[in-house]
This record gives sequence, structure tokens and C-alpha cells, in this order.
Amino acid sequence: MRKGRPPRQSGVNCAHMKSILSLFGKLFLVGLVLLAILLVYLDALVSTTFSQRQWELPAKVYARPLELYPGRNLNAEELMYELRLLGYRPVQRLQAPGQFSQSGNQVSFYSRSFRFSDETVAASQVGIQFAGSKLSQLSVAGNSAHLFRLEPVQIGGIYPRHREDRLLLRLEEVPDTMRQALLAVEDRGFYSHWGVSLSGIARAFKANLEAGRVVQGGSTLTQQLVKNYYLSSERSVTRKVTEALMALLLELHFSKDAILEAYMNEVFLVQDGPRAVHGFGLASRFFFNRSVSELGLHQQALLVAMVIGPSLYNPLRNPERATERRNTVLAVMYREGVISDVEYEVARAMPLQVSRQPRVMNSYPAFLDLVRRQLGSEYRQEDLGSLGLGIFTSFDPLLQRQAESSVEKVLDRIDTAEQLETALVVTSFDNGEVRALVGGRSPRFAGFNRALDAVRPVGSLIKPAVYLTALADPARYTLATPLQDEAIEVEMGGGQVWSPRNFDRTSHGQVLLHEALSRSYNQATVALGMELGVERVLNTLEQLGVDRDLPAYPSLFLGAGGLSPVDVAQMYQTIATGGFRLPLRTIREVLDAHGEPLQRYALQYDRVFDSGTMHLLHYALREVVKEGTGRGVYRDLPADFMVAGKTGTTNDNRDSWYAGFSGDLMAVSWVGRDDNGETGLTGAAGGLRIWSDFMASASARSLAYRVPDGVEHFWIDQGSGNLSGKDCEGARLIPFISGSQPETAEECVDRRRGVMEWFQDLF
Amino acid sequence: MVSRFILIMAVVLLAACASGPQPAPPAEVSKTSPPPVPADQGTESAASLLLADARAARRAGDYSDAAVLLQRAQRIDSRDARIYLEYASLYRDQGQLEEARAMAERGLGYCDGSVCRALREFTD
Repeated sequence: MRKGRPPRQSGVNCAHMKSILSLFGKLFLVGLVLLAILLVYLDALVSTTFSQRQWELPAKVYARPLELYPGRNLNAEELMYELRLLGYRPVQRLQAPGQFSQSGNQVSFYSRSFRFSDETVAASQVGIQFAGSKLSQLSVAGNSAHLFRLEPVQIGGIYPRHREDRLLLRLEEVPDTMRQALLAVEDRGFYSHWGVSLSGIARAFKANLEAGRVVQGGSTLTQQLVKNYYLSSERSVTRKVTEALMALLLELHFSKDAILEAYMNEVFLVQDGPRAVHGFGLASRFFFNRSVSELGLHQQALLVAMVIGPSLYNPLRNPERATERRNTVLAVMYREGVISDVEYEVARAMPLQVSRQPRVMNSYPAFLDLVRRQLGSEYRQEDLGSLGLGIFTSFDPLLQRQAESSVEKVLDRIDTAEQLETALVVTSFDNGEVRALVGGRSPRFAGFNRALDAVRPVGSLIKPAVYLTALADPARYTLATPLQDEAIEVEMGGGQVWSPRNFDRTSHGQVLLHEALSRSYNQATVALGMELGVERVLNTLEQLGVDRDLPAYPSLFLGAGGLSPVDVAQMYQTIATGGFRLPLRTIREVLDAHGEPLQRYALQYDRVFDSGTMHLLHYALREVVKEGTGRGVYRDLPADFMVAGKTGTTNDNRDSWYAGFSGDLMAVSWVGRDDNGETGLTGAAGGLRIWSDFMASASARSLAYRVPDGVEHFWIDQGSGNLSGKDCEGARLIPFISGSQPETAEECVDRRRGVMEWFQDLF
Repeated sequence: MVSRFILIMAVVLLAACASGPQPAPPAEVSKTSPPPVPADQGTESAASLLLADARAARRAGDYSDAAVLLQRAQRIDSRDARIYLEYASLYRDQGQLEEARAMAERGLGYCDGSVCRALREFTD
């Protein structure tokens, strides 16, 4: 109307109005366009990111699954330890997965189902009978069985940069009562609003006005989700508007159930050291050591209660406040008809029941460190932290427990001043898998990983490489080759002369090669090394798998130059297998988020030394423990338990080493000081003690290789190295590569003692 | 135990009284006492089971599955030379003769009798 009437008083005024109106109109249009652009952008953001890759999922690192079968070395206590690590609860009667019971020699448990890459093991009731230290009978679902694979313990995760961790839940897994509790407390109108609730805002406004402060949020679950998922926590009108727009868009694209499920997975619940625990799935594991579907009403209510203030209502730090808030939630549940009055009274009276069990996650930092380094060479850090990979490792929690206990026990005995540090590496040499790793005296502390990074001189541990170089040339060297153990001077260049001494400061004259190794004579070893040459010994070390630069000087023969315990493990691993090189491995398989294998590691031996040659070296390394510097192992091991190994001690007793193997395990132990100071310990007084304590409890098999084809045994005179006879004095049965045995025979002095020596067990 | 026995007997007697062909008594009867598996045979059985599965997988051309089964068998009993023999055959079937030979050589450290002879066919 106005427009139609010509202005009477002032044309200027009218034009002014017009231009203002048109400006507003233009601004409005621009605003609309901008809003449209913003909407399109937000829409794209919501519809792509939310559905495609909802969360960056950390890689889960698993221990080996425990294989249960009759005849296995395992006792009831060990099985229950493993079950406890898995979060199984002791009960009187098995009713649901995640429970176990024990009576006498019988342990029963109700397993959880687990998806391995090659099969899904269904949840089942498993009964196990023990006889002594062995598993004697196994039944699965009431039927006698030969083999059952228990789910593996998760020992760690590899997190994205923001360090969020979660265990994804599907809505079906959430108890109905818990879902209703969440809605009753956080968003009553969830199933009827469009993402934004005007009545909710009004209600909150009223409540806040009455209270005079913010006591209630007007946000819907959808808005909370949008805020947590996309936006910062800053409080501004723009953010609030964006949040509301995105909430509307989210509702447009996705179903209510999908949004609710996402909310339950997104919500932050507790900070656990460096990682942030998100979602009810992981929080339930974290606080109660059970899955969400196994939670009682009081536990469901506690998790719902924490949503509004995770740190304020943290049941570990603020149990009283948490209980109070939990009971408020229970009251709401009762009021809304979610639970009956009886259920309400019972749940209210329950204690918090937050699990006090030892946490397994990230409890083995040394091993996880090695896993990360091995993964790091093949995977990008951002993929490890986001793709939800499953990393299946060879880690054995039972062996690790033994390793940690041996380390603690021995160090407490030999070092009351607590100045010494240590490392222990344990492998299954048959497949090269690392089973346990101790990186220091405080194994829970993720500090300097000595198993990997303490690069120290190894002393006599290197000697087998010198003798192996010789024995690989049977035309020149045998175990019976006489060597001279006498003062020796080695030109070092620049006018320097090196004259090594023996540990006992005496020279032993002519000794046979096997004896020089088992007694660890330095002078005879350097003499032999000088005959062979530094290059050939370095080459042997490389063949054995030592991948570190070592000095090309004669001091190499006595272990100058540094190796880490893991380097030594690689070297002795090849010796233990009988001359087959295998890379030390921690990872068996990497699976993608859907459980499909991305990578599997094949068992592939690389034959680097002849089996016969290795058999001769094994003979000398068995002599070490029977007669030589390693005799101390039999303070812990039974006399008929065959092992082989070598001690190592460095100058001024700074490092005390032992490396060796039984019929199933290879282990390397080191004891020393971080400041490289003197320890006062020889290899036999430190490393060996840990090694034998560990082996005595952990190893199930005595060393017993078949004598390789092409190896023959002869009676040899100890003094001269010439042929002798069974009943001759000073005779000893020694293996030779056929044809390399001595030709000269010694005159026989009958001894007729009939004493059976350990080396006769070779037959 | 006693009441269970009586229950089972009652079921059996009732079944005997009834006319016409009857289904076999439920397998539950054996549930109460699974036949004991001697401890020494256990390892043999668990590894043997996996070994048989691995052989079947190899013959079906499922080489990756076969390798997984063999590694699992080896973890249970690393001294069973038959595992090395089967693994050597697996490598051979895939044309990896070097690997087959090294695997057989490793098995020779644990074998006896006919298994040794079979392994030597890979190494000679």
C-alpha cells in the first residue's frame, strides 16, 4: 500500500527507505546463499564422515591365545591366572560367558566367543582336569575334546594422536534398561524430536532460571553427539547454531537407532593415563571387567550417571559422589517405570563394584615397544592408530609372569642396594617367536628398554662365533684340535700391543678346542681367532643374524663392541635351531577391522650352517653347563635336564650375561648398571642366576636333537686329542664330522671305572 | 551323580518298555564321564588333528590355510617331525623348493624312522 502511494513530503526520505530496504533485501539474499552454502557443506560433512569412517579405531594388540589340550604343561593356578587376565569372574555355578569355577584339580569356565582369522570359536562351557603340572582331560560342551583355543588377552593398543580408545558396541548389545535409563536422564523426547527440542530448551531454561545457575542442558542426544564429534567445547552463539543445524541434518540422514548407537560409542567416560576411554563398551570393560550385556542394573546406572560429568562422578576417584549420582539415575529409572520398586531397592543398596583387578592393558611396555618397532617398519603410524587393526602377537603372559618373577627374585638376592638393572629376552627358537621380554627392573615402567637399547660389550658370549668359524672347516678344526692357551701379544697398530689374560690370570698350556670354549679361556680363543682372521669371524656373526656394526679388531674375539640383549637373542636363536636363521618375530598376523588377514608371516628357515657343524658347537655349549663356567645352572635345574649355553662377563665385571637354550626355549639375560659402573658380578653370578631360575620353572623340554647324519663319535684322549678307547684313562667321547676324526691313536691305560659320563648320553 | 544314574537308568528302562523302534539314547549319557585321554597321547592328538587339517587344506589348494594350521601345530608340538615334512610338502607344492629343502633339513633334527626317510627325499 505504502509503496503505491506517492510520497508527499519528502522524496529524499522515500529514496532513503528504499535503498535501506533493498540493502536489507540484498543482505538477506546473500545471507540465504551463505546459509545454503553452509548447509550444503555441513550436509556433506555429516553424511560422508559420519557413515564412512565414524571413528578412528586404535589397533588392538593381543597376546597369543592359550591352547588347551591334554598333555599340555599347565596347572590350575596358571589357567586361572590367564582367565583372570581375560576378566573372567569366579562363580559357584557357570551361567554366562566370562565366568569360571574351580574345585580341586578341576577348573571349568564359560568362554566368550572369539573371532580368529581362521575360525570363530563359539562361547562354550569348558571343563579341565589337571594331574600334577599337566592338563589331563579336556571337555568342551560336555564332550571330550582334543584341543580348545582360548580367546587371547588384549595387552595393548596403538592409539591415534588424540589417544581416544573405544570398543565399538552395537545397539543390540546394550541392555534395554540401560538404553531407557540414558534416554530418561539425558533426552526424554529423543524418539520424537527432530534433533533439536524446543520443549527441552524451555524446560532447561526454566530449571536454570529457578536455580540461578546452569543445572540442566537443553541439548538433545543428537546435539551432544554433534558437539562431541565435530565441534569444540567453546560456548558461543555461532557454535550453538551450527550444532543445531548439524543435529537437524544428522536426523535427516540417519535413523534414531543409528544416532543412539553412535552416541553410546562416542561419549567420553574416563581418562586412563595417556588414553581417553570413550563409549560404554570400553568403559564397561574398564570399570567392571565385563561386557555391557553382562552389566547389572546398578552398573548400567553408574555408566549413565557418569555421562554428565565423567571426572566429577569418576567412581575410582570420587566414589561417594558417584554413588549418589548413580542412585539419582536409579530413582529416575524407577520413576519412569524402567525398573520395578524391588529392582530399585536392590540396585540402590549395591556397592559400586568397580573392578580392582590388575590392569593388563599396556602393562608390558617392553614387549609392546618391540611390537611397535616391528610394525613401524611396515605400517604408517596413522593407519595403526585409526584402522582398527588386530595385531596378533606371540606374547605369552604366563612366561612373562615367570620372567618378571625370576628377575625380581634374583636381583633382590644379589643386589640389595638396588643399583643393578637387567633385561631378559625369551624366544621359542623353533619358530623364532619372542614370548616374553623384560626391559628393566621395573617391568611396568615404560622407560629405557634395555632389552632393545642397552648396547653393551658381550664378553665371552661372542666366543661361540669364533669356534663355529673354526668348526665349519672340519678339514682343519675339530672339537679335539689342540690349542695353545698361553701369553699372547697382538699388534694393534700404532705400536700398541694387546696381551689378553685369562679370567683366572693363569695360562693352561695345550688344551683341546672344546675345552677352551667350555672353560672360556681367553688366550686360546684369541690364538684361534688370529688363525682364522677377524673377517671370517665377522662373517660368521652376520650369518648368525647379528645386524650391528662390530669392530674389525682382534678384541672382537673377546666380545668388544656392543650388542643389545635382543641382538644376542638373534645370534643364539640361530645356534639353538641348529644353524637355521629365522628373524626374531613378535607378530603372527595382522587383521583388518573386519577380521580379514592383511598380513601373515610364513615360517621360513634360512639354512646358514651345516647341522653337523652345529651339533659339534652344541656339544661344547652343553659342556659349558656340565663342566665349565655355566655349571651353576644345575643349582636350579634337575641334573638330567639337558641345556646348552654360555656365560659372558666384561671388563671389571661391568656386564653379566648368560645366553642359552633348552629343548623348547632360548633365553638371554643381562645384568649391569645404567651408568656402566662395576657390578662385582661375573656372568655366572648374575645373568646365569636369572636364566636358570627362569628355565627351571618355564622350560618344559630338555634339549634333545637327533644326532645329524654324517656325525660320528670317537673316544679321544683328553690330553693329546688323539684317538683313545672306551676304557682308557682320560678318554672322552666326542662327536666329529665323519672323516675328520684324528688318525693317530694314543696308548691306552685301562681305567675300568665304568663311570658313565654325561657325554655318553649322546647315544 | 547317583540321582543322575537313576535318571538315566529310568530313561533306558522306559525306552525298553516302549513298543516300536526307539531312537538311540541321547548322547548325554557319555557326558558324565568322558573317556580319559592319556596325557602322553594328548599332544600327539592335538598336533595330529591340526596336521590332518593342514594336509587336507594343502590338497585342496588352500595353501595359506595350510600354513596357518601347520604353524599352530608346530607351536603345540615343535618336535613333531611330521609337521616339518608336511610343511616341506606345502612349499614344494607351491614351487618353493629352497624353502622346502630347508624345512625338511630342520625336521631331520627331530625325526625318526620313516619320517626321516621321507624328509631325506627333500634334501638328497
